[in-house]
Amino acid sequence: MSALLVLEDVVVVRGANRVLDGVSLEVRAGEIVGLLGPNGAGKSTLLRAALAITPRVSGRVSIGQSDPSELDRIVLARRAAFLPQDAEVSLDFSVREVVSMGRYAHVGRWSALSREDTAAIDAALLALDLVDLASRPIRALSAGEQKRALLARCFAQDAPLLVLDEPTSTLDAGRARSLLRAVRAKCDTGGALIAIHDLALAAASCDRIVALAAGKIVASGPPAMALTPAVLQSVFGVRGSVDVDEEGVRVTLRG
Amino acid sequence: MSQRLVLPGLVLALAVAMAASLLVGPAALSASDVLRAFGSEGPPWIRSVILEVRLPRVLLAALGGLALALAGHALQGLFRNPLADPSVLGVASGATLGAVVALYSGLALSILLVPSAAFIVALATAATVYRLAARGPVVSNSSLVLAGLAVSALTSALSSLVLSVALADWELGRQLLSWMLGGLENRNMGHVWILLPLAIVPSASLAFYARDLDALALGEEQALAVGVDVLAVRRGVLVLSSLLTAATVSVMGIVPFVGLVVPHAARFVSGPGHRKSFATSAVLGALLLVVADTVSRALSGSIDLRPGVLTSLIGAPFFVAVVHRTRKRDEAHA
Amino acid sequence: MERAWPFALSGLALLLSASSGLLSTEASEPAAPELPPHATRIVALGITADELVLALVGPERIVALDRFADDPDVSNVVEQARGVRQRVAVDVEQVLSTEPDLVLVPAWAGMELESGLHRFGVATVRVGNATSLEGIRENIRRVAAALDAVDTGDVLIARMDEAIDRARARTRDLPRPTVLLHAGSGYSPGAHTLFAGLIEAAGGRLLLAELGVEGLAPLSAEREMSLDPDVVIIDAYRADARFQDIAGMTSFALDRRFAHTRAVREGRVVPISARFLLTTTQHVAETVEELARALHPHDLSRGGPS
Repeated sequence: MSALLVLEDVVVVRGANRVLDGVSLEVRAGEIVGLLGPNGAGKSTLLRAALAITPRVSGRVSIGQSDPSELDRIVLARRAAFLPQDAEVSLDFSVREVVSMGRYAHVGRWSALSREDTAAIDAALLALDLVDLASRPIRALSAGEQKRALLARCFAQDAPLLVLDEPTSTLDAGRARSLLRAVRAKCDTGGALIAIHDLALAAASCDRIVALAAGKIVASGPPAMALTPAVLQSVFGVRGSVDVDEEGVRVTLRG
Repeated sequence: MSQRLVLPGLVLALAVAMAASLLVGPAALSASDVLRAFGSEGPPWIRSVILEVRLPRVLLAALGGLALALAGHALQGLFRNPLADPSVLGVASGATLGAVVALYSGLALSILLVPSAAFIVALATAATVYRLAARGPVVSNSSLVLAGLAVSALTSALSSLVLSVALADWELGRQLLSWMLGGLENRNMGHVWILLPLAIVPSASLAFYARDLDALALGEEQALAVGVDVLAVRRGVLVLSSLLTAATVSVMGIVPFVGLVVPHAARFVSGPGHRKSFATSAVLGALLLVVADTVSRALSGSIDLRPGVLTSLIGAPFFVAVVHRTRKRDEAHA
Repeated sequence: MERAWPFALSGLALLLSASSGLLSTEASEPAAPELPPHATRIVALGITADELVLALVGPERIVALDRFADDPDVSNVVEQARGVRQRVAVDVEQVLSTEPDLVLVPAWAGMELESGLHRFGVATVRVGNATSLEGIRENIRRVAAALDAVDTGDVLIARMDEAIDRARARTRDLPRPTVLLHAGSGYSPGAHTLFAGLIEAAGGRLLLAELGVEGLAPLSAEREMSLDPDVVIIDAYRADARFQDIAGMTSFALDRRFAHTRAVREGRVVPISARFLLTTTQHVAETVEELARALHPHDLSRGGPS
């Protein structure tokens, strides 16, 4: 399988700080990669550098064999969809209107939506359980519902790669799990890179974990292998272990 | 009223207002006088009053209102800021400075060069305000308004300087002063021909960005993510709305708040999507200024009430209401 | 390149605008219509035009005057103006509705007014505010020629010159006091202004002119105190209680800042009506007489020969 996203030795500098200090990672088709790390570790910066929203000073990034900073935004939008962490909508668009914005990369500026576009929008609304809310103004919804609507926008974009920054931060545990299940279903053929702060959720839902601390990758691999007690202790300051049993991956935290 | 009838209804209202406006003026003329004038009949002076005095004025009010409303609408979309408006952001006073300098230097064909001079300074002002307010990709609402305030204080001071220098020549000074107060007195078809391309071309071009401005409502990062070239949109919208502002300022001085009030009303009527609400804004803006000018003319026997004064009387309380509502929304989010 | 289209389009729109504006003004701006040989429907705009036209032609040839003609504070022709019924403001439509054949336009009106009237075939004469006695003579001659009243104009000039010469003769051998005009605007006339000429004729020395200040120049309170003239002329309108009520300003004579100036101490702050100070027509002869009395109160009896 070819890689959807490759980062090699990426460095991002803000002021005198190296916010990302030589980061390399890959996201392949069919896998969900969870990006873990304490606040300020550089997770959001990594996602933005991957999509050429934040400029890097050195290193290489490629999305579908090309450097995203040299791609036309429309072409990039067909290859990768992005959900930022803070997303405040400034006008009273309905949920459906917001989701249909995901189709910009596929519809000409002056054209109407095709049947294929409508189908993609309907599928996204269905996948995230938004059919009943479709005609509501997005700003009238709860923070969690807004997040789901914006994720549906990413789904409608039909890009092979999903890049999501803390999609579950405003959700309760049950909602968070079902949202990640929807992402899993969507990633049947594509891949996803997701920044998550919830250890247990990440360990349970991701194929691979990349742990970031102070701009450097400190561990990576399947959850049970990457999240050793030593990593948990040094990166997250918790004592615990991650084990695999017949029910899946389980995180046990002590103290 | 059904959504589909809104725009035709507004166009009809505009047509009625423009026709009614032709009936108002210091010379008491009847509807049949007006009709005869359009049929090239009746006394020549009445024909002149209708076709060469009142008609240009009505057309200028409509074009100016359209241009200002669209400039404000596009800026509100671009900055995701309900308070953006050419006069709030200082673009209008920048245009005034450019125009005042051009008028003062008294170039032979100055009325033809005034729009260009106004455009250059307006664009420089817009770019400066934007640079002062932007931190990275994020433009904060309050710093945008503050930067606009600071820059327009500077450009207004420079305009006043030119004016006070000009006042040494009392006659030139008085002409400049009257122009700075804004208004549509003594305008002719020449002004209409100057404003027409400058109102229509950029207005139509803004439609190109309608969908990009829709996506910007989700924030600049999400707009980028769905394929919008945010930098290009920003530059294009600033250029086009500066030109719209400069064009109206050159022909009628500053008419404040049209660009602030009208877009809100248009979005209320036609929804947030820019393609539809741009069209509504254009018609509503034209309607507002035609009505304001008609009222100011109807009252002109008793006081010299400029249309800009009327739009400010409507606009200022509206501005306060928007600030209030935005603050309530922010508090609800906090 | 792709992103530059808004600039290119803006340039195009500006070009289009300039050319369509140019074409329309070229096409619809005929040269100024020829003056009618004997205008019979004259409209005067501005108080200067009112004063000239009422002196040069009979009221039967005038259809409308400026509203200022009726204001005794600024008009020297309140009586004569009663012979003409209509009043207009500086507005193309109002002027056109009187169906004039000749309009006297004040120099301070925008170009739009004049070109507007030309478009309708109405001839105009621009009436500037003269800055010297010679300028007034020229104005009278020019307007008189346009109104087909050359002889009346010459008589007007002769009478004005006679009256001024009389005043000059009476003050020739008297001491010449120093004078400043204290205007509320903060501006005061210096050399090469009409006021300088009038003060000279009235037997005074205009301080600002002697200091080499040209034209209408800013004059601060501080400078005024340091110059300390013998006589301060003020606008009577500002001196009277009505203005003080409206503007909340103290008149010069009561202003404590000026309490120690020579003019205030010696009671030589003289209010003169705005209609004398503002006029730029033959009525300056009356201004000279007023000023002469103000400068030489003991030598010229009040209400003397006029």
